Amino acid sequence: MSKQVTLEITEAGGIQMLHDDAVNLAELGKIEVQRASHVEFDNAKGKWFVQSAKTLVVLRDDFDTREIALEWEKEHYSPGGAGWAELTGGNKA
Amino acid sequence: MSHFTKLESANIVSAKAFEAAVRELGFTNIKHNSTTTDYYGKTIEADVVASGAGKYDVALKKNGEGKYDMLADWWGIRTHNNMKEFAGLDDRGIQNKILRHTTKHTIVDKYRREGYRASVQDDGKQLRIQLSKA
Repeated sequence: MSKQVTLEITEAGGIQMLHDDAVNLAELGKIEVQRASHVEFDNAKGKWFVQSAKTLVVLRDDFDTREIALEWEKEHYSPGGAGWAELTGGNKA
Repeated sequence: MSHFTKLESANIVSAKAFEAAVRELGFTNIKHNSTTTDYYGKTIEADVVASGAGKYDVALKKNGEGKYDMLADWWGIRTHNNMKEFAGLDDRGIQNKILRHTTKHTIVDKYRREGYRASVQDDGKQLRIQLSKA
């Protein structure tokens, strides 16, 4: 498991989170999983970039390594991150 | 390339988590293998009955799938128990609040048993659990 994962409990008692294999929500009911983002290499720029899967907007395109891009992406789309509202349709705070 | 996972409504799979949740919300007495009374006055056997917060109690009964169903006279709890935690909520809102707290305890208990550190952030509106492991 990654070092840290954050879950949000909804008002109806459900759960939403950035997927992590260590947390098996299927034990509690039927889950839905959708892609949040893409992490790809830009051959022209020589940098890794993070793109929203929903809006296709490139969020950042200046990562030297894939690992750093993945770390940034996880923080961005986790509960409390700037991209959380994009995934949940709720408030980002 | 991350994925977003959503569980619309969590089943109740832990009676212990339910007990912790209802205690947190104001029910003070827990009985196992007891009875409760539904809206029509019918006596129902239940695995867990939580009372002590007014005339009306809330119960848990195992269903055929090995999970639990919540049983209560929700109207009675809403209109007669006068519980601070349920103020302003309708019947569904009361059920959701109990489910929400039960889900919280289910996750925290499960992952603490597996060696994770579980930190709960609850401002009354947003409820988040941060799990971490060295």
